[in-house]
Amino acid sequence: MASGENVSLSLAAQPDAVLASRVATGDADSLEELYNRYGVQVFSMAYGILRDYALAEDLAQEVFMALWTRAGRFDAAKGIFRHWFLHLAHNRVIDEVRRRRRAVLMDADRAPEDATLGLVSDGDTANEAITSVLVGEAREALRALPEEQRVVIVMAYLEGATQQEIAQRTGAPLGTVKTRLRLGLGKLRQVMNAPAVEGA
Amino acid sequence: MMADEPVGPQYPHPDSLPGGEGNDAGDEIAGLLPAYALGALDAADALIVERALDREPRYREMLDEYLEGVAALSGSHAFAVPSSQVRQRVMGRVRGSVAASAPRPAPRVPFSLLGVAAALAIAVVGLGAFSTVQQQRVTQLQDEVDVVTAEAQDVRSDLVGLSDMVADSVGMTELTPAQSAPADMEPEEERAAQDEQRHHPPQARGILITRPDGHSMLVVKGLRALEPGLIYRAWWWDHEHRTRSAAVFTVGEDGYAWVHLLGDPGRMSRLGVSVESEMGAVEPGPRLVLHGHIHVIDLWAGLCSGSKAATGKAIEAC
Repeated sequence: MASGENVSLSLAAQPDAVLASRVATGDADSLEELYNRYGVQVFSMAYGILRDYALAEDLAQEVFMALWTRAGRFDAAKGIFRHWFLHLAHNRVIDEVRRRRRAVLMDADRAPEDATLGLVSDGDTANEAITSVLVGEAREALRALPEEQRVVIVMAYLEGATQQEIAQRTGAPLGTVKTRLRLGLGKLRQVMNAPAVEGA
Repeated sequence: MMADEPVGPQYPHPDSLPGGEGNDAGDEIAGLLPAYALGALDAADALIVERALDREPRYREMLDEYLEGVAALSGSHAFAVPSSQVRQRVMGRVRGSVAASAPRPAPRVPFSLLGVAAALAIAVVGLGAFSTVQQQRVTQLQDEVDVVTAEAQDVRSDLVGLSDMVADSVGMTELTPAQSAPADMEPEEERAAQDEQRHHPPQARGILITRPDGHSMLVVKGLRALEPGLIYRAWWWDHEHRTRSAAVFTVGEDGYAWVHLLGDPGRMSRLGVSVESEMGAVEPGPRLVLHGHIHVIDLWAGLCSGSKAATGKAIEAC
């Protein structure tokens, strides 16, 4: 029988998709290995967007519990685990962003403009948001986008704005917003030029 | 899409998709994919996209390319490290649920005992200097709920990191099937809620366990397993009838779940559980399945002093 150390080494050598399939069958060790790989990344994203350490910890915990219960829904034939999981995590984070914004809007003691303070409104504020939240190549890639594409991506990614809300805030037609999101994400992926690699 | 495929910037324009041009449904789905990847769709549009993804592999391939851009952003946040408690909590809950799913030696005990077991675990961790007499009572109760020790261990694990916060009291609130709709519910939502109730077993129950430091847990039983794409979401209502999400969860075939809740229950008036899309919801939909008004009580004052009325079914074991 393999020792615990050997089991750990064996798990560390498995691709994400294999670990996910094991998690789906109830293998807690595989979940812990996925936590080793993505725990800091998920927490960093939650903290970067929410700027609340305790809340980011709670959300990271919730995301991994969601992985525990929903790993069976990941299909390696249809996509890459990292994409699927980070999408799940990001959705949960922006759910919280939306909840907070809604709470501000419903707070009768606050002035209406409070709800829009700090929100991205143009290329400059988008750059400020990018600078304060992101680092490295992705930050530069995002900055390199045309302003109108950069703004819509930041509104969606960091502020949880829906495409309808983006259209309202920017005054652009909904179809234009969709096009900007599509072109922006495409260029971002092109500039990053980082082939997605499943975890070692 | 495989990892070693050439990476190209070209994305199929909606008009270039096979099977449609202009304004047909196929174009519409392709046009929604970038926003879906960024989480920028409302729940209705997200559901439309998810159904299309299940139907059409080409959309899944397109989506994965957009997700690659989003993943690049998600992986580029300034490095921040969570405390080790996050790992402990996650793995404690996971290993607790594994243990709980093991075959049990006896028929399931009444749900009321589960609440007592959870309260015991909280109290044992938090009240290290409990009096001898009370400890004897705790021991007696633990003997009664041996069959659910595995679930209680889950709670213990969750609270290891909080052991420095001594709990003076524990509140318990029972959630029952949402027989009556919240006051602010529209008529059509009320009808949908009633329809939801018909699909849920009448024995569905929940117990909210709260501590004075703001930590809380919800234990549910008797809920049905949901179809793919749907989740249960717990909601707080505050005293001004504003709602906020408290947690999301699913249940297994046995209909049980243990869920940590976000938010301070001390500032809330009600807790409910609704069925929502797993892509998120900003307010409760009409499919409310459990509901209860929050009242914080002193567990130890009510536990064995005969004040059953204040503490609900969970205390009847005394």
